[in-house]
Amino acid sequence: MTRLTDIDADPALVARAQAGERQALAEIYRRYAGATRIVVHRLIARRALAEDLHQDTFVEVLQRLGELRDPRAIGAWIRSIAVSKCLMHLRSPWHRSAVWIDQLTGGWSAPGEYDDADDYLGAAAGRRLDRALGRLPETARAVVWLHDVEELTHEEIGRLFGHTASFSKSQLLRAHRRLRQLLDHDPEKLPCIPISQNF
Amino acid sequence: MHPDLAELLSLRDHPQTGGLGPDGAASQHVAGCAICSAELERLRRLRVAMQNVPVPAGRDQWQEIAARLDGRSPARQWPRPGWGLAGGLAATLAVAVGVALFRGPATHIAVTSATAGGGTSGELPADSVASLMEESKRLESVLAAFPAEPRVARAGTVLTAAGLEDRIEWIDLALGAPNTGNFEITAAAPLWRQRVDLLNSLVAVRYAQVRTASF
Repeated sequence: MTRLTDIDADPALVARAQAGERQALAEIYRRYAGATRIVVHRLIARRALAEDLHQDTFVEVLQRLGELRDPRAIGAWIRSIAVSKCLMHLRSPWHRSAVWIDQLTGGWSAPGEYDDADDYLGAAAGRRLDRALGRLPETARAVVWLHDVEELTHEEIGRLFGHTASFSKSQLLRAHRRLRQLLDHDPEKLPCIPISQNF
Repeated sequence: MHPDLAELLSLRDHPQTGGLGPDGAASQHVAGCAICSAELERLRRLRVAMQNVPVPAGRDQWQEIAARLDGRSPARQWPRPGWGLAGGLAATLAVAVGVALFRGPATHIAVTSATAGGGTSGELPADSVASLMEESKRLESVLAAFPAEPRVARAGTVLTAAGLEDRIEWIDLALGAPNTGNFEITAAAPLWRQRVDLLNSLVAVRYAQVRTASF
């Protein structure tokens, strides 16, 4: 998987895009669309909504490209816009009312969107992990993804959520505990065995 | 004593500091504990696995993005809950909270059951089935009065509306099934209550959809 920050920046391309050259704007989209989609899909479990937000992200990125001061930081800049859009959506009254309706009626749950008929997941392990991630509470899922995959610090994640680093740490713990349950690992139940006795 | 999950995560992320404990206590423990080193390894592998979980391939959206940049396609708006939607949701919330708060026996009122032969008297919740059925019918007429759904709509709106309609259908199935059996009218009240709540939400969603489409 290629992360946004792993993609080599091309300052000349960014400069052409900032000048409004259509071909350069299209090239920016083509270079960064895949990695952006990964971030958005991990933060927003509903696939159709994630596609909408992905498009919204790129419209904003290309409209605000002139504001980018350091072309080498374009990957991190796109990521910050994508994450911000996703978190704004998760905080919106619209989304919260939908979640509330789901809870009221015992309705939609994320794993339903990742059923066995999907052929985009090849390995069983990947599918299991994908399902488990889909079952996490959305805040915990966002935090574990931003921390463990995007490698943001707890301070950065806390700021994104309008909280402190402690908030990020507790959400990360929550996510890992739940992931462990979902992936059928519970080593806390096992006794401590010194290596000398075990081998 | 085993390091807790927070210490193991810290050790995974900052191996050079030896975890959270003083003098790298967690690191020392893990080095000598098969369980903990296995757990630390599991956390490392989990992070690598997460980095490789595939994501569905999406379609190329460049043409739509280009159209939006040129102003050929209007900027898509997330449905913003106006007073109507806010009111609808608030009313639904109030009803749900009310049901939760007044579910106790003290709030039951005696009503005459219209279905029981001989006009027997029974205990029904404060929201009688008859009034809920009436409200349900009223909301259905409100929904019928909305204009046809736009051909192009936000996925979020469509998904929410479809989800609500699905749940109403399930409730209708549940309400219809007992007609052939011995079904207490009191058992139907929660279902009718839920049906009214869902219809209220659907009205709010359709209102937001119409309002967004009108811009």
